[in-house]
Amino acid sequence: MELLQPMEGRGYPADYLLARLKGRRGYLVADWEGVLAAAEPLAAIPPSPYRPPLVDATDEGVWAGLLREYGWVRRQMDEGLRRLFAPVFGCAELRTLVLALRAVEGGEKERAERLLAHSLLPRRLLHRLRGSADLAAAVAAVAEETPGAAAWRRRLGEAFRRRGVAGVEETLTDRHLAEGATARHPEIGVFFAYLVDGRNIVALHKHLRWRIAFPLPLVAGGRLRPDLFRNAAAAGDPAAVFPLVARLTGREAGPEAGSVEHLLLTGLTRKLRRRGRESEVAQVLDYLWRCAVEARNLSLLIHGGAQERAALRTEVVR
Amino acid sequence: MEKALIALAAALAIGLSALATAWAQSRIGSAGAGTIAEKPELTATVIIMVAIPETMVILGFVVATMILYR
Repeated sequence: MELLQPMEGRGYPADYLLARLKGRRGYLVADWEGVLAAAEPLAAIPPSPYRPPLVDATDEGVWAGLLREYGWVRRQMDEGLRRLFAPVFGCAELRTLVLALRAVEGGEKERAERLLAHSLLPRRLLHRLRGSADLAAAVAAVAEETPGAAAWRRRLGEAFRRRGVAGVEETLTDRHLAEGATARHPEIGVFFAYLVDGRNIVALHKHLRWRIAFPLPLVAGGRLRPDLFRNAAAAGDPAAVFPLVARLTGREAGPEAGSVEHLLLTGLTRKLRRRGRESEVAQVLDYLWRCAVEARNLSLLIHGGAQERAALRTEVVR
Repeated sequence: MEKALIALAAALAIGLSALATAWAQSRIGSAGAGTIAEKPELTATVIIMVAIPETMVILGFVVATMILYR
């Protein structure tokens, strides 16, 4: 599902991009322990020329900073890398799209405008989202501007009628992840397969914790066998997801180690860091993921200012 | 026939080493440009790095000369 506007210019050779990413990687926050130990965690973030100032920072500002960085990386890529990484950038744009839909739903036109300002979504879709009078019109624009047959538009419309923006988000995300997992490049394919497995594990965990009766919705494309999920679901115990987490991350996992989402994100971060030493594509992927993790952690610090430091320590991914 | 073979050997010695130098310099050059864009203070180091593969083509030239004028 192509969710990106075409880029002007031919970009630069991969070696040039990698050298620049190595330089910029040095400005990403590496010492989260030090940040969390500081009296004012946000003030302890080392300054970076590539990150907007964090004084009075908002969640929205952090996200816009991430989109700006992704836009910059995409502009530097040559045609081949742009095509290869389209599903990865598409993931970030999906979140932008959903945040914009929520802003439209809440009648916050200006917020939606700010969210879309740095977006890489196709220009036609951006134009239609900006001009949408209400949420239904915005969702119709998404259905019409995303590639797919009439059946896809019906499915998205049905999801919207049943569950609102949450339904649209789930339908778009599931399709995007399943398509990403079929990517021909092994690094991109493995990355999306991990995301699919992670999403399925989180869904299973919610299923078991809240004792949901309807069948477990699994996204296709993961590397973990569906029968493992069905067996865990049959066990009826939320702790049954931890063996799956351990299998996916390659590390021991239990309720004492942290939340399921945190374990999955930490596992993916470690995996990408390791693979990043092996190939060029993995190195770019590792950089993009590090940027996303940093944005997530900064959002946590912005929201969790008054929270217990111990709670933040268990949520910050490093 | 022998002269033709000597000329071919000399051509291969300089030609292959020139191609290898070109390939290495293209990669080091683009990586070097990226490095200078991020850290201009490394310009001198990058210039040295780009120059290092030149030794290959110089050695190729020496070998070709030795083949031709042995």
